Amino acid sequence: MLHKFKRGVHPPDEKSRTVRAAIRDAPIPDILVVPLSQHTGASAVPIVGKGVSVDKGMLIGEPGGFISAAVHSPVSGEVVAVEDRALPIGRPGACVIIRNDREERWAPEASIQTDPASLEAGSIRDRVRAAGVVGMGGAAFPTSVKLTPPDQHVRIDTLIVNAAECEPYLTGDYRLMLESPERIVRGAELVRRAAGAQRIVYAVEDDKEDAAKALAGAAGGAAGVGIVLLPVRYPQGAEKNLIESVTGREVPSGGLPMNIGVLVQNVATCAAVCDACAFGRPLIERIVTVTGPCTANPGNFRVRIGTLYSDLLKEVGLAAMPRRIVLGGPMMGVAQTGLDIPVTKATTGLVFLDEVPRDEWRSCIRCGKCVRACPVRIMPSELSVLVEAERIDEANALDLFDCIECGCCAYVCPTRRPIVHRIKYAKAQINARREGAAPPLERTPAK
Amino acid sequence: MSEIRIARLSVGASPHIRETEDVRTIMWTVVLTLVPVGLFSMYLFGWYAGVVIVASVASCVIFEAAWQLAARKAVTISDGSAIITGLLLAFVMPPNVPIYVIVVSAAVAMIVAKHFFGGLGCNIWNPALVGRAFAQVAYPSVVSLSAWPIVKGRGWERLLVDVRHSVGAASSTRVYDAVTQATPLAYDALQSLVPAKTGAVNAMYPNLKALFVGTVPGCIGETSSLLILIGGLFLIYRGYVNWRLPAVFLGTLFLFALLVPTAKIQGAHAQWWWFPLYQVFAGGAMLGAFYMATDMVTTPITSKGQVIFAFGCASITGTIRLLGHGFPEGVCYSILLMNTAVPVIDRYTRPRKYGAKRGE
Repeated sequence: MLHKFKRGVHPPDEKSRTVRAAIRDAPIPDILVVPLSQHTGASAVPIVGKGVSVDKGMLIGEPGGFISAAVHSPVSGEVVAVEDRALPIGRPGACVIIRNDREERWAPEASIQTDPASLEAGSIRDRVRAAGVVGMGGAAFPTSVKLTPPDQHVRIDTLIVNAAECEPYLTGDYRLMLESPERIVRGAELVRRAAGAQRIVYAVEDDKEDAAKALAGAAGGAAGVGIVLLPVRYPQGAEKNLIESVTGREVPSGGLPMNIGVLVQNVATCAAVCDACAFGRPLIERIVTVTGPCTANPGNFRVRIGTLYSDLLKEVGLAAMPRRIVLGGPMMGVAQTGLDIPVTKATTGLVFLDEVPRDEWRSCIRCGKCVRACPVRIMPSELSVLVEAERIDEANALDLFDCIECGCCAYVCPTRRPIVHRIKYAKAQINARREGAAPPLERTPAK
Repeated sequence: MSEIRIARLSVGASPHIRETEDVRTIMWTVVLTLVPVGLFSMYLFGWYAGVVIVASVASCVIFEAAWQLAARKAVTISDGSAIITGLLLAFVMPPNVPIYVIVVSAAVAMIVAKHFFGGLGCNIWNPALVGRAFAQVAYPSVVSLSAWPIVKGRGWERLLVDVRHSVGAASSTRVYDAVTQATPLAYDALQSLVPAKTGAVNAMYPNLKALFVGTVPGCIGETSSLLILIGGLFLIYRGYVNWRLPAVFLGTLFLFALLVPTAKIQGAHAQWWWFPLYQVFAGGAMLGAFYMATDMVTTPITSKGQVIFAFGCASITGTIRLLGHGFPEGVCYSILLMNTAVPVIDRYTRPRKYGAKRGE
């Protein structure tokens, strides 16, 4: 059944810093900055204003469209402002600023216990939507949308639970699998029911056998459940490659996994689905790996959404002055502009790097390393050359939108060409031209 | 609570880590694998071969730097690519080539073939081979057989003895061609090279072992198939050369020589494999297959494209060598011609992208 994934790269995994660090609760700050747009799709619409008292888990932002997600208060307290603040993506956006009263008072609607076995597909979807669950591997695509097939012809047969965590440095999913496998397994069962899938396949990289055993133990030999160990290879956890590795099927160019009967959910997303359905808990916290050569006490933290990086940094301390702070892993993550940025539902990790790639690049020497490394088998060199010459339409006519932006090409490039940067730029140009015409496409980062 | 202060952060595009190997690593590794070939040529032909090599490398580096300074561009001589061109240009020249020929050819290679097109990565043709092709046309008398016996020195005299006794045939250019075609012209050519009476047709054939080891006349860096093979295998091991390319190049040449009827093998060399092997080890085939046809810049990107490229190179080489009239060696021109075809090959050998329909 397993199809070997031969492309990609093998960067140093750097996970040893935090791989044995049990998940700890990060201190909850006095002021939380909760962005209304933490997900792919339309921004949430605030339903609270300055001076409103909020409970923990209370809805503060309603979904702003079908592809959108609800936002909840991570603490009990008072709204002090709704205003633009610095966001992880580089430009400011609307945030609800909440002063924490430290009472940890749950909203009544956020603490309803239900037997998940009694829930039907429709009510699972509703609860997942109400809880604001999004893909927690980094893309933050609204999970309820993924569970709602656009028409009856789409039949999902396989749910793949993405436990690959192939990005260097990140260990949050691994710790979650070791420490809360039963939540993942219950969540996966709920997702399977909601999607009408027959089988669940847990896909784990083969250096995490203990995590695979924990999942197997929690699953307890349920029918139609399998665990596969995949070779350690980046980007093993990229959605398209994971699907190919596990099922041998390829997502059609321009299509979605559901077109070939597959649904992929990250382990942390499954745990969030479990919390939403069994306990009524909205998504107000997540696991964040705070690590990197510049951190003194790196670790895996359970962090309330809206906690600022500066609050987290107090917890880990600095061992050296960071040159770059990366949100997510170093292959696909986004360089951050400062410490006054909040943790969101998409914050898989923060990596404090002491070295950054040099900004010098040269002409392509056509060595073909990027072509051999590309997991979706396009020719990144060619695209980067076309985009450099502003021949963006030609790039678009080739494989521009097949690129998953995994970074393998630029990682191996001997002339240090900013290939992914060029491709992202060209995609942005094309998207700007289509503005408003097409719905946002989901693009899952490899994790 | 104390605030943690950080210095100004660097913001750049992902990925935020890079492999350590860069263009310098690749180029200097190639240079390293060529060093034994150069040393062997000095052992074989005497110190003058070393002078030619040094002159060629120095010319290439100086012309590159001069061009880049004049054009107000960053000087990139430290990347090692000009040194490779210099080495390869010297290696495809006869051991008695005058220095002015080397200097002019290096100018053509670096300035016309490389930097007129935009420098490393942008050139269409292999610069060293353009330099060689230029010399072939501009100075035919000094890069062809007639001038060779002029060379004096221990190495050369010993070689003449070798030729006389074991008849390790000359390789490259006309000497080599003369033997392979076994035409009267070739016979005369060898007679002029070896004044002694070589006599029997049998003795016209080279000793394959000498040919493989490299103790035969020939161009400076082309004689030792053994050393080229060792260097080439190391490049394959490092992943800078796709093994399919030299394999298809030399394999096709072998088959070509096996099947083309001009080769009449007689006497002691009647084994079916002798003549094809001779074609593979003689002349510029080995250096071409491992070092010229594998130049990243001027060859196709995909494995499939490289196989087609290598097949084309070998077919043209075989045609010039065995079917053509008058021109001795085909490796240089075959690679240059196939360099020209690279954009077309690349277009038709794109990998099937993930999610594309089969056959799309």
